[in-house]
Amino acid sequence: MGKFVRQVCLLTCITALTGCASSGFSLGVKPWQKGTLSKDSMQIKHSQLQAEFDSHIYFAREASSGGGMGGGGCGCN
Amino acid sequence: MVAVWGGAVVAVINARKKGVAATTVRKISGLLTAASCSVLAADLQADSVSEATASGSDSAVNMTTATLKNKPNLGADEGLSSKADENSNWRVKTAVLSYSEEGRIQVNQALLKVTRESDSGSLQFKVDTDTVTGPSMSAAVSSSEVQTFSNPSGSLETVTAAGELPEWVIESHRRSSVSVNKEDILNSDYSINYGARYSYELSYKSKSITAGISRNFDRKNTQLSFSTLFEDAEVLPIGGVVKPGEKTIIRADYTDEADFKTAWNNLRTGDSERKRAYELVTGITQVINRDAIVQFNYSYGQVNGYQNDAIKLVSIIDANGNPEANVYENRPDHRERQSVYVHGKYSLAKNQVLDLSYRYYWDDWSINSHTVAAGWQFELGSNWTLEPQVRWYKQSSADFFQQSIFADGAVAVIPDYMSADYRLAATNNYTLGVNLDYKFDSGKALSMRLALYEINPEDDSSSKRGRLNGIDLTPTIRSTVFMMSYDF
Repeated sequence: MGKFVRQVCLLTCITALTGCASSGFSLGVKPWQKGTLSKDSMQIKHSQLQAEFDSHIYFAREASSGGGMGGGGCGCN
Repeated sequence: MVAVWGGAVVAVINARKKGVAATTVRKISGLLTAASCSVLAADLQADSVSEATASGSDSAVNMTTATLKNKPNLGADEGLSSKADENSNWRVKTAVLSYSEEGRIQVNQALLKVTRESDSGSLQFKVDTDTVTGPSMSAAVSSSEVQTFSNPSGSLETVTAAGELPEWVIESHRRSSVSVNKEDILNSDYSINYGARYSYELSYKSKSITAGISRNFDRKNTQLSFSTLFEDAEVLPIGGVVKPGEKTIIRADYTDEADFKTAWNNLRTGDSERKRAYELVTGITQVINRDAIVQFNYSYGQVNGYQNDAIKLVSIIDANGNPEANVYENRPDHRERQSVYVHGKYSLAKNQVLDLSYRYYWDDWSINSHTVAAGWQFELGSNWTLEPQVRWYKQSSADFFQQSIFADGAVAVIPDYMSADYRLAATNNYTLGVNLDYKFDSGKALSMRLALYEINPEDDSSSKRGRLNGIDLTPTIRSTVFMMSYDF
């Protein structure tokens, strides 16, 4: 049951976000308004190397991985 | 999916027919907004606005102007640039990392990353190696008497003092990996990426491949992405693959070496086992307004095959909480894992960026977890950037997590699955960190990071009898992480 609820929530979130995007409901900017967004520090993958190192540590010490936080690839002690 | 790929290929062919200039403009535009590329360094705001006004708000022209202006900051080595592709450049990154647990494991890692970036995408080679040394918990309980264990290879015996938690000492365990990743920007809407990785350590060999596609919508305000990962690993436990649920033995139990060796070999099924894993990640990245961007990912994965940790034990105990024997752990050979992840960036002021992320993870071992991370980045002048970070992680225990099997002299009933590995326990973990970056005027960058990481696993109270009620079997682990990287 819990799993079903989670999946429904997930689908709702995706639909809501995609719906907002496609209807143009106040999301997004004009190309010339992307100055701040194009800064290095505003990139989703900013500090990629640090993220890779961190996810390797957390993968070795915690039971969760994946989902954008990366991890994996070792037989860690 | 076939239609999408077909469309992408046609689009590329069409783009190529239109001549170099138009293609370049479109490709640069795609490069700049693809979420996987973060090469822009300069503050483009003022220039972007004025150029856009002058050019009639054409997105591609606007971005091209910005790129050309920015190019010196990309650290391009003109000598290495290809004549055929004038907008390519090479970037070299080196990094060292030290992870040190108080009284336990120490990991030292070094990494080299070489990336060729161009208008049409990027190609990246990465080599890294690390060495692990120090004691690692065996997960067996402490005893009120001295305990003796044969080490995993059977070559020598280790003695654990009364009241101490048994551990194995890892003298020096080296892991190395190489990987190559390529991203192709097909046109302003589509990009694909693919890669391969090989990781080697004495007890684990892994090959993995990745592939992904992303598509831009709504003038690149929205990006949908889909990626896959497949890993094929060979697990080669030190001393061989042990039989789960069987009792460990020591040399002193046998009169001669030959008998011991025979018994030792009988506890093992071979040298290696297989593990295969895959993961699918689908995501959407959405520009909210001129100061905010959000990414939302869902991932689904499976791990099939050998997932035991051959050096982890579960103790059989008596009514006083003392161990009578120890058995090898056993985990299910199937694991299905899912997660949802949201990551947002918000520009608070001209020189401050707030970075927030949350992940909810769940799997069919009954583990679920919440991860919250936040970073606050300050630009201090034109060269320095400071970013304090916090992270909180809360995990529930696996349904087969148990730290002992109660027998009290009777024949122990060994459950199908059991593990006392603290990484499968309920836990609350915290990380406090700070990053300090210095960007040289030449475009080179030095980055340093210091973090304190604390793991607070909780014992399984139902596993405790007698004296164990007063003993913390999974003490807090504190570690220090130091990282330094340099971009040439």
